[in-house]
Amino acid sequence: MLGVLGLLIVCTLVIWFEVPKLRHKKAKKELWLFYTVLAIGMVVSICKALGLNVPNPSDLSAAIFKPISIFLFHLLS
Amino acid sequence: MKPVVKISTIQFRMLVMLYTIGSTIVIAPAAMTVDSKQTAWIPAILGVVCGFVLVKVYIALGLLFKDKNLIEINEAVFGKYLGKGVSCLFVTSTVITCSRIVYYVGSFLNTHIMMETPLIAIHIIFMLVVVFGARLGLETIARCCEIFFPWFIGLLGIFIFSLTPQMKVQNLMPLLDIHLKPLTHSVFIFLSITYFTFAPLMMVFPLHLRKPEKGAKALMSGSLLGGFIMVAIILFCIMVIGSYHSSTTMFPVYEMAKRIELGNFLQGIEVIIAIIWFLTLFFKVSLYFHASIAGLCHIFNVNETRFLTLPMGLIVTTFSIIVYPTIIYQKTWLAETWIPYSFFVGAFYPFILLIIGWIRFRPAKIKKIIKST
Repeated sequence: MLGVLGLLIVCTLVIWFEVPKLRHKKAKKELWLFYTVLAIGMVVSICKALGLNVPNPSDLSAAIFKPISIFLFHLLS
Repeated sequence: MKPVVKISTIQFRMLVMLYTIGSTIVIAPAAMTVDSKQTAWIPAILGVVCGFVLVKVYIALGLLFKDKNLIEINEAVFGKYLGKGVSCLFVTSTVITCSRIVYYVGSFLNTHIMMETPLIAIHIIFMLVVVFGARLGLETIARCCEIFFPWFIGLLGIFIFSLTPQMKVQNLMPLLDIHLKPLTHSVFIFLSITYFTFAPLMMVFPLHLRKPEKGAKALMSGSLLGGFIMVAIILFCIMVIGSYHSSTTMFPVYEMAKRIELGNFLQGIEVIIAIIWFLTLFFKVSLYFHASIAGLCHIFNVNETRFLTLPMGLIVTTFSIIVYPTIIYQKTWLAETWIPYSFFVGAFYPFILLIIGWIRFRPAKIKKIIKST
């Protein structure tokens, strides 16, 4: 719970630092991009802070590239 | 439209040199001596030669599309929508690989120097500096590299000079005991950490240089010099601590630095290796971070990059503890999946870009190549 609280404080600080300048410039596309990337970051980090099982991107790369590696090792040995 | 930041050729050469040494100095000595034992310096030299060929591909790609960075090259070569799709995949890969490199920093500090600090705390402090650098822009990072480079060379010189009494040439014997299959495996390990990770440099290379031709020469010389420094470090690793200890310890270069004892008073200065690693890993992470943010901004045609640094820093820090849960997972993943992955992103993809770029934009060159064969 403390981790989630810390993350929400960090999120508030990030928004407090960045959004006024973007809103002043009326930059809608930048604001959309900022909120999307921040949302992805907050979702992943809150899941990790709560101890949920976040899917590992290395598992995805392993699933794609491990067969190639096994094939190459077979050639090498 | 904001003016594009330009960095000078000297700064780019130093950046490429520190980038090449980046994570190689952490992983390569241990990984290569496992297979090749005391002849691990031979696959390192062969790796530098193969890297020379690969860097020529990057230079040809950069000179074909002057004043474009990799995202714009994607759009020029593949067309608008497929180019944006490939760029999205590239940016995702860059973010995840950035997290992996941050993990190397954290795992080294956690293992040897700050054993009770939680890993995430080290990553947060490191990424705060990287984010701060990214907010200040690429020109500041290049100037910072120019300032830190003499420190890097000086500390490396002190390190090698202090180790000369400890080097035993009989650790290198038998000298040319080469077997083909361990040799090829070690060459691929060296290439995969050093030269196949050059793809984010293409976000800097043609666009952010004042003179791309001189920048091409700087890329070549910087990568070759970095490669030769790595060959020297691997050679000294085997000479000082022997091939058995190089293959079994996690960070053999640090073990080597622990052996420094000069005149009975210069002892225990292994932290200079830690400082060298901070510098090289910092510039590698900075360039990967800059590539991911600049890539994302170019995909969505956004001019400014400062606002994305903090959210992206949050993503990279969070993923740095997700992407390698344990050291065992890291070692298994590096041994099984990293070589084909880095080959695909770092060698195959630029080669395809070059071939299709030549077919689309310089058909005369293709006809000349076909006529000559």
